Amino acid sequence: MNKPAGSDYRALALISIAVSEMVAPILLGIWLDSLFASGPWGLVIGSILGVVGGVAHLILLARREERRPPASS
Amino acid sequence: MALDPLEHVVDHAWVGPITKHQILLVVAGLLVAIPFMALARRTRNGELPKGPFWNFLEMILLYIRDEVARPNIGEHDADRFLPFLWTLFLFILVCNLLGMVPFLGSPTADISVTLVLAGMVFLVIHVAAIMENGVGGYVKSFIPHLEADNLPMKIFLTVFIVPLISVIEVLGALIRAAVLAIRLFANIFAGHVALGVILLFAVAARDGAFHEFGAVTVATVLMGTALSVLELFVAFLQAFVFVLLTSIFLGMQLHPEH
Repeated sequence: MNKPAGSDYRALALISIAVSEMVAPILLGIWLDSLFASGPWGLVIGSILGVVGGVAHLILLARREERRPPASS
Repeated sequence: MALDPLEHVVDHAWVGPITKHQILLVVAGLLVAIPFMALARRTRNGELPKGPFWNFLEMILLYIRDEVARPNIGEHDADRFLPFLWTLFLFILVCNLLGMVPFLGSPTADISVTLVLAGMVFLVIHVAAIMENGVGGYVKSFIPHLEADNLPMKIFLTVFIVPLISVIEVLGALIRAAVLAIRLFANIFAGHVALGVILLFAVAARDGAFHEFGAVTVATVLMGTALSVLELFVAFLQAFVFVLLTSIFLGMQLHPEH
């Protein structure tokens, strides 16, 4: 199968999105806990959002990428 | 000479209250604007630019158009955003390269500069998406459409997974802009600090014995030269990565799929 130009770059960008979307909610939860002394709830909600939401979004991104028509150049 | 490498990288007042990075931002703007306005004037009548310098400038622009913008945004929409992408690439590249000139510095080693650049990218991406798809289409692009074979799974997806992904999509839009800013800042800042640390070894050894000072200086010069070459590569790479990711995010937001 011929890969469209730039598809490798696109895949790398998607990986960086997926990783940052998994990590950022957890860090945000920890930061909110330290700000409002609400621990461990920020961490718990951030972890659920990051891990479950991040993985679900990664699957969705991968499915969208499968359906994406190849670039013309 | 200060032995703290951060003193050589962090912004400080240069001319009165005006800081070094503020002046260098204007210099970078002029260094981009002057040659490219001249190139635009030369090609205004549809004539091809002649001469190695003008061909080199044209080659940079064509590379961004053919290898970055069009494959990621799409043939139809890419050309509308090319002036923005070209300006972004050239401005970041010149800002990065200014750090390789002795006694100057990289404005992109300042988080406030990269945050403003990423903020502009965020605005362009989302305003363009609203103009392209309308407010309804734009909002719908954050809500995934998931299909299931049976009713319990459909309820589970609709009640639990769809809201979760929607929150992640909205957060993701902000995270992408933040990551753009942090990536550029961290790469340029860390490179200059590492270069500063290595070069300051020679300064730190100046009071030692002559053979120690000589050995440290030779090692410092060799390592500094090698790291400067790497920094030169990183200057181009990070400008390219910033524009590449901008194009990819722009393409994803303009043409959301479900």
